[in-house]
Amino acid sequence: MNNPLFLIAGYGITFMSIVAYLMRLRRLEDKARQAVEADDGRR
Amino acid sequence: MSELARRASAILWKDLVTELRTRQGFSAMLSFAALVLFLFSFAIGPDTELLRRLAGGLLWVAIVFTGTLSLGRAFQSEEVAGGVRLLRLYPDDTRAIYLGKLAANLVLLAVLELVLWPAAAILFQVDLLPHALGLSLVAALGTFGFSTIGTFFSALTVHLRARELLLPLLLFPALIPVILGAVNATDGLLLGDPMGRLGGWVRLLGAYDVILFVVCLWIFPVVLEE
Amino acid sequence: MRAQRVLGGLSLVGVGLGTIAALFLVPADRLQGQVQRLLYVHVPVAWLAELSFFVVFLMSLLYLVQRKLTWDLVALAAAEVGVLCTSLTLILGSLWAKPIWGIWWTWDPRLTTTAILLIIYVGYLIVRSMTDDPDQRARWAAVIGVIGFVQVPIVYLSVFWWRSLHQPPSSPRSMATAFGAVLLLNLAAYTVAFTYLVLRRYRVAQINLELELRGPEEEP
Repeated sequence: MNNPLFLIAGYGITFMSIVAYLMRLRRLEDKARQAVEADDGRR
Repeated sequence: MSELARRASAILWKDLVTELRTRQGFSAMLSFAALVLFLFSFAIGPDTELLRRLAGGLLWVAIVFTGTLSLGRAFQSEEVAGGVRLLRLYPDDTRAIYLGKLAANLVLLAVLELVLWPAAAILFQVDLLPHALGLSLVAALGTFGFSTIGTFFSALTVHLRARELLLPLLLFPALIPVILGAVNATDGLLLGDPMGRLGGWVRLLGAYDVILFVVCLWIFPVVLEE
Repeated sequence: MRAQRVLGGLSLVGVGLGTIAALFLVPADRLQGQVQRLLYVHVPVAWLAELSFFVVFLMSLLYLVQRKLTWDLVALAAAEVGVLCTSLTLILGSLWAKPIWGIWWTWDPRLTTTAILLIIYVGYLIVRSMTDDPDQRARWAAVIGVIGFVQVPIVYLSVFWWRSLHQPPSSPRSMATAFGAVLLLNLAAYTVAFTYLVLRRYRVAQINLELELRGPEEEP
């Protein structure tokens, strides 16, 4: 049965999407930090 | 309470008069609906038995498509003229707007369906007369469900940029019980109901209508808040 | 707060252990083979999808009553992570169904309702992204959050009736038998991970809101 392929795909997609979301969080946090610093600098 | 009704009827009246004067909107709706029905006939082919079985579903799809178009225009004239701001005063006034718009949409769809159902009967070769009463009830319940949530989301999306995308996107999940209920009830009447499920579908439609109407009416003032 | 770091570490450990247990410590299912192990991810993720939208509903109500933007931000975080979980649930469901029943999709009531849930909350996020005023955004989002949640039981019921006319294969969840302890472990691990992601998303949203509210500064 080609079962194991689907299992690997399933776990693979799960971890990839979690990592992708973590990367999105990181990007958002960096952007926010830069914006705050820029804004603080301006005041 | 009667104050609410009075204001709502004023809005209903205004919308209907506008619609009657221009008449463009309605004819556009009618041609679109007819087009949809014709396209379905051509797409499905000459198999009359198949068309008869699908008639209920096709008809309701045509109604929903056309209805969504008309909803897109429901608040547009006010949006353009900035009139919504003028309408927005107290929560009860806002609810009057909702009721008025809902009623106007219902009237429009009712007139549309008076043409559409017979048209579908002819195109798909189904006999509506033996079940006219039951079909009228199903039509009323289904259309009311559609207009209730449709008017609501129409008001919500009127200020948003990608409105043509957002209105169907928000509407579609909400309409699933309406479509399933209306189509299955229509099929139950037209094609027979061997398992006696007709009553259940009608009750589902009724419950949906009541629940969504109450929730939408209650929460509507928030949508127009500034 | 570095409680967030701790939570993150715990998530990593938890999910790691859970995965190892699911892949290596549990014997393969007699009927379904290796693919049945997907259940140890599918069930927790599906549960979290449902939980997240309940959170969105709760936060939406709280916002409508108290008008505090905090609630709106939690709703946003939960909705985003919820969309992630829901998408995953659907994908995993497909990957499970294909080898077992040979089809990518069944109109199973639970699966169908999950797909509809996804559409509702994608709409929620899109409406949010198109509204610039924080209060307006919170208001409309809250409205959609409440109505979206109200729709769900009715949608499920109607799809259930619709499908019971034809006998579909039942949902993966109901068919498979799982080893309780390992399932529980994964359930707990993914829930912790969920909380971590929501918390982190909320934090960023808080900062962004503050930036928004500060507004443009006048040139001195």
